[in-house]
Amino acid sequence: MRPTAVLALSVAVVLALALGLLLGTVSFGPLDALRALRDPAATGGAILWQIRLPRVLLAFLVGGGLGVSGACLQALVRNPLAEPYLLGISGGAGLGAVVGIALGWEVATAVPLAAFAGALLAMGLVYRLAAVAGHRMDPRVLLLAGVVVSAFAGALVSAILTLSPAARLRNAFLWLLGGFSSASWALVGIYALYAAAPLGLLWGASRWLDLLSLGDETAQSLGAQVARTRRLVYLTTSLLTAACVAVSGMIGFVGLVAPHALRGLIGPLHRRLLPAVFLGSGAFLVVADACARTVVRPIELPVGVVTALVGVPLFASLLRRTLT
Amino acid sequence: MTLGRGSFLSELVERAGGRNIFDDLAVPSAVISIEAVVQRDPDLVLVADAGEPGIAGRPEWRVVRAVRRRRFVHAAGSEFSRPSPRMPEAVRQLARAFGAVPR
Repeated sequence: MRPTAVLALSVAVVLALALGLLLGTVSFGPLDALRALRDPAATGGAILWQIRLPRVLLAFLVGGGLGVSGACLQALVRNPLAEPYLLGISGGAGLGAVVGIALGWEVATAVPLAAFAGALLAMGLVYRLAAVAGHRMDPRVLLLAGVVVSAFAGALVSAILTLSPAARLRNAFLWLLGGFSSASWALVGIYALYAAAPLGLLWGASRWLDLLSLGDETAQSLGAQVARTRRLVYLTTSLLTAACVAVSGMIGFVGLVAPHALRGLIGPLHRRLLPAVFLGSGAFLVVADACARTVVRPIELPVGVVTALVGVPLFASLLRRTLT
Repeated sequence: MTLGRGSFLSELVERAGGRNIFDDLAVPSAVISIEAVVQRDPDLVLVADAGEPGIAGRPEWRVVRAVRRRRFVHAAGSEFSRPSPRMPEAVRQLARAFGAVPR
């Protein structure tokens, strides 16, 4: 990795985290924040320790998870437009989580697993739909199938939210557009519990991802066990996405932005790309969340609104580039 | 999620002599940040369900003074949820709760 890239990335991460920590309904100057952090019992310290810090950390980790999922899926389908939200995985995970909560399951243990089941189901459905266009999986048809499955899952989520009496589900925006308004240290812990293993596995599979992105035949001839690697990557990205969705709802387009920006800067090798994408996507989502909670304070926008405002124009330009 | 100006509950609170801390929101209801609640430091928290509200045990909500001190007022009955001849009863209940706030 070039030293300038490392420097740029670390500066971006530090700036994003500082911004996320200082900005909010109650804004702090850098010195005030340091002073407040030393006194966790006072109001300012309590806001930073109990509300702001877990929120910024959760946004960073979820952003990193979604970014890594996106980068891996892009290697898998060999298309820079792949992303857990657009492929319907987030939608399926959201549906699973909402079903779990509506049934009164334990948020810490059962809900992320329900989201995982939903993500796998959606993935399978997307594949069956895309197989209509032939066995070679045209990435465009795959994305179309993903969007359709996502819309279907969204409709079911809306139906459950409308019919369910559960008080926890009232915040429908959280599930449909994502948000960190209920962030807490407990949620950070739940996320870490489920996301650590898939993140490690995907990083360990860097070499295979490099091969897969060359194309199935090339990968096969270079010694990759294509079918098995594919299955592993699907399972792990689904689990990673499910962990993200279970703690923050469906947030779109995060998996597009940082991989796109960083591939040019760092190159396509996943051993370096994945950690960089984790940091970059984390920083991106922290800044997006800071915008979401300050633009119209004290009201909060769902963070998915902000990521869509950035992600959709990028999607349009990527689409144009892949088609020409 | 909280209720802004012009919502039914906000009006009930005003008639009972209280003030909704979010009466500057021009929308009937909105998702607001916990920080905003901390900053506005309410004396009482009106909850829409009977029983101990879920926020009482959550560390991020315990930053709010009224939550820490368990100053909850339950507005669970149907007299709080829609205009009806029982509105005066709702206002009386609220006024009683407001009167009990230690200053």
